Amino acid sequence: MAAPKVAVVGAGVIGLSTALCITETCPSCSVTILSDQFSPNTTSDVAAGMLIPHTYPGTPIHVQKQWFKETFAYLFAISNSAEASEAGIHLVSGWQVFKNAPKEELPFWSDVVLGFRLMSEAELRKFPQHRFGQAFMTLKCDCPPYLLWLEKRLKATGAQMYTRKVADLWELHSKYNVVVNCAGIGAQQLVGDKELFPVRGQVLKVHAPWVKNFIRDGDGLTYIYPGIHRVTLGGTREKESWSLFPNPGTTKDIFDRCCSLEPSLRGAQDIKVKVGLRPSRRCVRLQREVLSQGGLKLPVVHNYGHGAGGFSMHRGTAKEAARLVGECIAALQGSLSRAKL
Amino acid sequence: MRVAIIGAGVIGLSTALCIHEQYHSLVPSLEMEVYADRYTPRTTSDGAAGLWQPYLSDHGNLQETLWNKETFDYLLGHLGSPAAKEMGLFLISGYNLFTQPVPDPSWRNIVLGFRNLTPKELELFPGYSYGWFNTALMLECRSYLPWLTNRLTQRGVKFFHKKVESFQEVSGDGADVVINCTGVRAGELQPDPELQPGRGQVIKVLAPWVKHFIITHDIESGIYNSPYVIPGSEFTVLGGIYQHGNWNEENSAQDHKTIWENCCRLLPALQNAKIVEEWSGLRPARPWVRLERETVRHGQFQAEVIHNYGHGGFGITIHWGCAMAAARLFGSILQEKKLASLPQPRL
Repeated sequence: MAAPKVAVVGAGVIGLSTALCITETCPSCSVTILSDQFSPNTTSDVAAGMLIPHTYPGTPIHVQKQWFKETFAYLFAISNSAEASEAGIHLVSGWQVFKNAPKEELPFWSDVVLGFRLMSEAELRKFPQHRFGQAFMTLKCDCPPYLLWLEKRLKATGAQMYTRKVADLWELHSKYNVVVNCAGIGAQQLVGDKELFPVRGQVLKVHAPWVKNFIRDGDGLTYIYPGIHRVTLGGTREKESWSLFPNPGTTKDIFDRCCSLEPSLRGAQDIKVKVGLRPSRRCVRLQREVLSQGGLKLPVVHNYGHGAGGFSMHRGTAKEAARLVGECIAALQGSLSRAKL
Repeated sequence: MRVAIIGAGVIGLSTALCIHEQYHSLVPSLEMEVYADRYTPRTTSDGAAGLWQPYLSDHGNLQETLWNKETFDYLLGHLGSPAAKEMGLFLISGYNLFTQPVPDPSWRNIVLGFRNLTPKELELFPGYSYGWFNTALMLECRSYLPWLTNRLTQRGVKFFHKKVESFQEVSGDGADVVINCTGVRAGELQPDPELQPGRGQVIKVLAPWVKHFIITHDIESGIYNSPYVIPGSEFTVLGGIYQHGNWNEENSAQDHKTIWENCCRLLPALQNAKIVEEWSGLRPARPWVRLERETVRHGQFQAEVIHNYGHGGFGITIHWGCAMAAARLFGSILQEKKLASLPQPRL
């Protein structure tokens, strides 16, 4: 197969980073990204893009740690380069505070982020309702900049991008050798995955440039993440809610909760409200599958269901997906050679 | 009782407020006036980035360390108040970088979360093998000085745009106490060979992705002669110039080159930052802060002068502790003049 044709469905952080990894591991592949939405209208654009992992109950911890380590190392290198501002990658330090001591003292990622330690009593005084805390430094991927930077790098490799809603993977059979499914929450409809469910998140993006540190409540519901131009205030975790419409009552609730963690936010300006549906699953679906229909076969690599951990795991899962694409292509080449005999 | 404050930088305005807050109810006749030839945004304080951080070594000057701590604690207490934003006050974390291990500074327990840098973090800064990380405060004078001015105006303090040529000028006018907060040009009112300008130059850029301050140190070059990057609420300040004895307030092309090249080497992403402004200022450098009383006589006139100048590159860092000390000196003047019934110190 001279130039295997690979279609990537989905143009959020998972689709774009997977496509980029494929161009890196298979330079002879022609890669096409198909999605009904591109930045700034993807789920990724709503997220703050903080590298603080979400723990998947169905994936072994050592695998999640490996994905996170790879993602962190990749972004760390970009943050330290001249491209950092264009890519929207920057270091940010801050605190995760708990009202009650957390079940695990040390999260699995504590030695991947930088400078992880327990907060001192003096630091905790700033959070009178919280009794326990962790301080560390991590990375943040601002969107749209990060997605636009990925798109730019993809275009430089010759990859094509088309706005198109793919309703059925079989639509792609005639033109592509391998299909990569990075459809996020769209995978529910696209491949009928009943284990995938939305967890609705509403956030506020505000102008408060004096906020330089992140603050996160360990319950994961209230957080303040300073980005390049805006601070993301969150949030909600509403399981099985599909509504993309902002809820004004929720907006006020989020704002109040964040102001109680950081009172200076009362002076925040130009509040924009956004909603995203986290594509949630017990474990990320990262596997090969060969679809059959009639006598036809379609190799598919699934890479979706990252829920609240898309940014934290994106590069690690993208690399694994690219590896699986390589396996698909090798299998196809093998069967082609056999067919010639 | 008329009090004249000369100087309207961070020292002059904060000293004025501190004294007025503490004594106006005890001294109903208290009248306060501020005299200065430069007001915000044209004072030395306005050019500073506004980071609270003392020098590395206090040279055994425990008094100054205590004033620094007083200032930090005072500001920390204001963080949660609605005034914080208006004051230009916010928390900020960051790095101090060294080429060799150094002892911990006098302020390690004043700031929050002081720790050494891990090897992984040091990878970000080739050429530096040791460092600290801590959370401190920013107090931007572009906001703080107007905030102080508003508080003072509300209290009936009057402001005069005037270059005061001598203590006699204000004492002859009727001022009973003169507070001398004239910073680097204090020598024009009273010669002081200990006071020298510590010239600095800074470049202000737009680099909102920078969330931490980075202060590098080169033990041989001396304080502030090594690059630093300090992100503010609007601009990021790039600096690293300290020229002792240089009175030139004009920007130097050579210094611009030094700052720009060194800071871009430290943080490659800065190459894409847009330059917004360039500024030079004279730090009022002195071996130690001059904070003391003096009775100044000229002919039949006599005035009590409280000197409060010589804060070098740590004026914002130390200002409130000094203002409180100046207020205590003011209190002792009042007691001598029997103008206030102040509680007697317990024996």
